[in-house]
Amino acid sequence: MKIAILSGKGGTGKTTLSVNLFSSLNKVTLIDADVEEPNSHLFLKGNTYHEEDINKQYPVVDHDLCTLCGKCGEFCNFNAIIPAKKKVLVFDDLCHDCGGCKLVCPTNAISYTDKAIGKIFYQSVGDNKQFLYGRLTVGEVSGVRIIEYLKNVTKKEEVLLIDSPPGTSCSTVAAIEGSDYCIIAAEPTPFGLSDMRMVVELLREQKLDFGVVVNKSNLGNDDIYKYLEEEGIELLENIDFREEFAKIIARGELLVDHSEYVRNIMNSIIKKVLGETYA
Amino acid sequence: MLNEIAIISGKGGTGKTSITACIIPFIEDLVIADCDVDAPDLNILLPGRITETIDYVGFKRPIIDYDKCNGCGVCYQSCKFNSISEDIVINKSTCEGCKVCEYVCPTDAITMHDYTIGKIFKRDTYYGPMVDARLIPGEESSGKLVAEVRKLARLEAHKEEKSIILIDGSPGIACNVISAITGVSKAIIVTEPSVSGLHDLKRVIKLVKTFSVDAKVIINKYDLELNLAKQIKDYCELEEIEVILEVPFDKNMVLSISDLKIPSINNIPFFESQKWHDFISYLIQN
Amino acid sequence: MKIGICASDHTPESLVANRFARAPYFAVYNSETLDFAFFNNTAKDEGSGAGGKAVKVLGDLKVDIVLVPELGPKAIDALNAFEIKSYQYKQGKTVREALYEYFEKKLPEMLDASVKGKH
Ligand code: SF4
Ligand code: SF4
Ligand code: SF4
Ligand code: SF4
Repeated sequence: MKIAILSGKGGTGKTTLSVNLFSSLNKVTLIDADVEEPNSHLFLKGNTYHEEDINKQYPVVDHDLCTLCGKCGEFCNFNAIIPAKKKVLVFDDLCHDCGGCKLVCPTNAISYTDKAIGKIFYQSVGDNKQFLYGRLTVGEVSGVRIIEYLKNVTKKEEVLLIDSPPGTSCSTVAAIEGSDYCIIAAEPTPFGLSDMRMVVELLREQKLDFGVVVNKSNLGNDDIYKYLEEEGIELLENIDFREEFAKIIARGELLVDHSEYVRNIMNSIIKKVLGETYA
Repeated sequence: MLNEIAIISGKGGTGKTSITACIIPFIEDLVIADCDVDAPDLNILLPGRITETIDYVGFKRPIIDYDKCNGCGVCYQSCKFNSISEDIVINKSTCEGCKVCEYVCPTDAITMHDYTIGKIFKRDTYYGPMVDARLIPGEESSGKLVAEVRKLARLEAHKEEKSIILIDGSPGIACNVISAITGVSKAIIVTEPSVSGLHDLKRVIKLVKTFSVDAKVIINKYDLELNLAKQIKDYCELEEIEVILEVPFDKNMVLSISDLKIPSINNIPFFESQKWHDFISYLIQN
Repeated sequence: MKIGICASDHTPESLVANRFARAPYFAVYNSETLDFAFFNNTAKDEGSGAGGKAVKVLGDLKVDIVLVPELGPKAIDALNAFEIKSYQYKQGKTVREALYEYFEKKLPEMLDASVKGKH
């Protein structure tokens, strides 16, 4: 069972939900696929037992072979390779690693070399739990490769939670692809509703099953519930806003360690999504 | 000279858009540019008339002419993004438009075409002209779209003789954020007192430092966790970035937004304080 | 000698542009014929890597010197590779004023990134 947890762009408690669900399950793996801003590890404090570089390739030009014909620069859609007066400039961080410049080079002057664009961290949390997260290097263009790698190494897990990048970008798509169910973390404010609508549109386009957890449910208005009802979307649970919760989260601690109320809610979500046996 | 101010944040949910909204009524002579194209929410608080809608074309995408295709599979083998399936169907949501498939196809069955990935809106609001954009879900917000919104905002400023552009930027550190702060005179980073807030703030400060822009930090809801607010202040001091404002948590802020009212003009004491007015004076000074 | 200037519009009296790669126009002043010519900056609409592309546009126009606002690290690398020298103008001037200030040697040469680079 692959469960993706996602939210609109505005930070509505997606990570809070992911790490607290993770802590409420016995045998589970969580991946933090929000590689631009990974945060789950701040709450889980596991032991990193393994790290891996994730590489992409970028072109290197052999200037003995290059005739400065200009073809590679004309081809590249990302301005990552620019033939100049005496040499060919390569901007590795702009390169999308499409392989095109090598294909068009008439003199075979181009080869590729590896460059790390980020890292993956493997952590163990307790006996039966694994947590993996990725981090994109500041300035790199896309984390999709890291997300795909994370999903690939965990594809055989029995219960997999995926803390997905917020919003509706292509890294979100990469993270949720192939999920059995998606949980949207939403807030009952006009901003929250507007952001959530975009996520709903995306999930429908991707033909994925999903339900909604309304966070800070006592801080806002009823519009979100009307919307869910009109659209026939499953409301999984409500979580109240309490100042003490905000403080617990701010310190990087787990709500389930402090609140019976939240423990019950997590169990209820697990029952609805994964079934009785897991709760 | 144009005074362009960008409001950005390391992570979502710090109240960046709410703070941006709060600033708006206090500045005259303003054009608003909502560059948070993944969550373009400012217009919710600033109802106004759409005066123009412009299609936004992203990069080109391949289209296969199946009458010409002989099923050789070369495109499928060559696409490094796994965007062409074995039965030669293009997956639009992962295609990066690199045009390698067009190049390798032996029968010229693949051609690249403009692809509309969103819309840009020009609006007339009570507080001045506004430009914002909305992407089709699943599409990537790009630096180019942000640059486009800013360009239209600048044209608007020129036409209407406005001297300030207020930019609601995206959270994070990706290229759309870089586009939102390139060439601005001031960047305001909104953060919140939490471990994740501090963590993401560090990343965004690292980014901002590669630009020669006057950057300052706002700690929103600072009193929710004073300890972390202190850590953020210490960090900013170390990085020599001024914390220009600390905004207290007030439920009425959220409730005001739920009522579609801009909090800063809805009887919330903080916005009558000297601190707030000093902050506004800083923003408008050239 | 050809001198490029980043321009916000296509006349010598228009203001200099406040950004390099996404400047709307490049003015090219030819010191032999004493003429201005204006070119659309085709790099300004690039999704990524506009800086390097803009330098390529100037390189193709055979510019020897360019007057600029600020430069990113990529643009600096590219200008070096195209052997184009760059000088920094002040905002709020017209294209013509920036050119005169260059001739009067009032503009500082940009030897390093004004924008502190990532690498
Ligand atoms: S591999 Fe593709 S993106 Fe990278 S430089 Fe070559 S053509 Fe450009
Ligand atoms: S295509 Fe090959 S030969 Fe031509 S400029 Fe590029 S690297 Fe040099
Ligand atoms: S344009 Fe590039 S990414 Fe898109 S399908 Fe063709 S080869 Fe793949
Ligand atoms: S390369 Fe061209 S001919 Fe071959 S399968 Fe692809 S589209 Fe068809």
